[in-house]
Amino acid sequence: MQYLAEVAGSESDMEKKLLESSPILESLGNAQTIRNDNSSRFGKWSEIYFDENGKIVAGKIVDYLLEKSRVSHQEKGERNYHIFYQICRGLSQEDKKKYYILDVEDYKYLTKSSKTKIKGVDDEQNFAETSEAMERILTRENKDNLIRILSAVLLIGNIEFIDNQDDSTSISPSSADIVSKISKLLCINEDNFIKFLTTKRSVASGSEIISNMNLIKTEEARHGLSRMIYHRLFQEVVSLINESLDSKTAAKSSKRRYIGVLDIYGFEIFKHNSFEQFSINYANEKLQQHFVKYTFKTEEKIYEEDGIDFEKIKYKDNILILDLIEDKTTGIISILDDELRIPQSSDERLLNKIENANQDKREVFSRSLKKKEEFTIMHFAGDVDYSINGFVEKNKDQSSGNMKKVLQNSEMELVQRLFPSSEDTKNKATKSLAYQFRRQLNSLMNTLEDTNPFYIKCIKPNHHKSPDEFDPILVLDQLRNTRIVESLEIVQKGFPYRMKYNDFAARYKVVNPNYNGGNSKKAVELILKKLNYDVSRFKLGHNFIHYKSEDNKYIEAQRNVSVDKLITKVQNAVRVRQAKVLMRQLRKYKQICKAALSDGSIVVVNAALKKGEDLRFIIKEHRELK
Amino acid sequence: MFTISEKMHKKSIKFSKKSLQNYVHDLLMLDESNEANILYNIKNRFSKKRIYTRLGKILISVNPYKLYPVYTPDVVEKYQNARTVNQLPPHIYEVAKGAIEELIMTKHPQSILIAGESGSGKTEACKQ
Repeated sequence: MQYLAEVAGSESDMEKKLLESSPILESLGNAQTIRNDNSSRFGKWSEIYFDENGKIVAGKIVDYLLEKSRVSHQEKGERNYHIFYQICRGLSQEDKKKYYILDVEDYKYLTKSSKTKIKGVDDEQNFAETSEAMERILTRENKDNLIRILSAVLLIGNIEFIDNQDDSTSISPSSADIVSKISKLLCINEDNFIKFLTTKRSVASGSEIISNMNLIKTEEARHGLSRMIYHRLFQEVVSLINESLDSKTAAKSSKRRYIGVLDIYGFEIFKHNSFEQFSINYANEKLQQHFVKYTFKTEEKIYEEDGIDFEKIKYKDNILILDLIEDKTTGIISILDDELRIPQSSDERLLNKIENANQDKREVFSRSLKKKEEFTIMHFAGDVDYSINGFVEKNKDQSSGNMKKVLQNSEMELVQRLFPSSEDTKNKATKSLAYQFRRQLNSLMNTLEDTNPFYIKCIKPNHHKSPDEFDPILVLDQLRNTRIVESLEIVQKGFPYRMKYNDFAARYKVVNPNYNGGNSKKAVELILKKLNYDVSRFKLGHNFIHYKSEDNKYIEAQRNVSVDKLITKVQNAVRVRQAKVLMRQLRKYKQICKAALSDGSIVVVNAALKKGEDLRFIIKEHRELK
Repeated sequence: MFTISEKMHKKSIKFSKKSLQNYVHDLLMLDESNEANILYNIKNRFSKKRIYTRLGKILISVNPYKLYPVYTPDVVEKYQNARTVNQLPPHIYEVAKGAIEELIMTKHPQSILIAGESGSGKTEACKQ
């Protein structure tokens, strides 16, 4: 992106905005995990739009499935999202007071995992950067409101509840102050907020019933609330960034002159793997499929269509794993969604159903013999043991209708934007998270299929984030899993370079000085004939010329030599012309000098001398005249 | 954690004498395209602070877990002015350059797909 921005630039600072959006999204969407100090917990697809002159005119960012569970819960040794630590450490005492922000150590959401600092990361300094970028891109008012909402999310985690022992719950008196602060921060009605923290609404035979929740349900609902607010805030920040990047212009421009950059969470294997890892790894399977399809299938198809002989090679695709996950009837996601419609859903029954529906996929799916809640998926990048516990609950895009109403009625514009009143508050069958994710991924795949892809395969050299350490076994695993070895094989057997005949002719006609126009296959053959090279290495298909890396190197070198020769020729011609002009001037001046000498008057001599000053050579007559 | 046992891995990593001596920019130039050669090539490059390796159009990037001075403005300029990218060592800028050129030439949308495990340097690659 930095390169694109620097090279392309823009007339409206668009490239700066594009670069500045990244610290904002990073602080809100990245966190420390065991594996990675700055792990992206969301997927990002950025489109950068160019005009005819190659200048950046607009941008658009699409975000994918932020890991919202992190807001209320982190594994040991991990942190919550960076932004929380940044505001606690980076804001002035005065501002902290204004926003009711405490120290990191005073928040339950930030201390549960007992990890609050990352080695080598200065949250205070990073906040300065984030804050500056926010003011420029989101406006100062939005930044102010964003901090208020973040502060409220943290405080929601601090509310303490009391179990009334009768299936009802109340807010601890010591938390009254917290609740009041949250209401002020979010500009919402405090009484309603209190009421709906511990009760839920259900509809029975047409009428609405407000009933109490027990402590467990209350806790769940509270975490659900903070996660929902944070998730929506994140999405809103993305759309604010898009507004500033003029994404609407981008969408309208039918030319689709864009470069898309995809940065999506990498394949994950943890000790305990749940719904989050399942979703992340699913996304990676989709990308892997695209890669396999692109490198192998597309390549073969092109040769076939263009009538070129080639050697077929065997490769593994991951279609079985994808069927297991996303098949419309027997896939894990579909079965997971079915479970949502059953009132008393159970994780165990879900797993049985998945197993029964996928008897034919033993190669990629198995259940643990020891633990009945565990199952294994043999992903392309390794086997992952998942625990089904919590899948059903995490898949719900839950939110209580009443609490949404409270937030809808907020007097703060940003909160209103997070909870638009147009949104249906009734219990309409909301789509599950996995369902939404599947749809998003499929739409991304459609977009990708329409583009010409460039792949960057990132590899980590060791597990300890340590520089200078190279673990060959770990690297080999990644090389195998990402199909790099197989890719190399197919590329070597195939013809990685291909050009349309007219493009080829345009680029390489300089190689043949006798080339006389035309850009058909015939013309290309003519160009090739001039080369002192085994031209049978170039495969001429119906529409394209195909060749290998060595051939590309050869012809590029030939082109450079020819271009240099041509440049010398052009330089020669120019220099000859310049010399001729000078010669003519000198001859003319010689006559003037002679005339002045014979004239002898001081005025004429001076005028003649002046004329001679600008010439590059001093001729004999000039000296005599002097 | 992985299906293939580590023992098997160790067995399969046998380097030919030749592979120990040097390395190539592009894996396509390897005399023999076996796993060991690929791995050793990448390892050799990594130890010489060369984190990028090319495989035709695919760029392989190994996370150095520290910042090398390979993203300075003059490097940008170097890649920007290169007549063909193959003249220069593999770099993430080369991919970006390729995408821009292809976009201008074909007027067809381009994409840069950054893949890898968590912690392999995708986000950093994206920013550059």
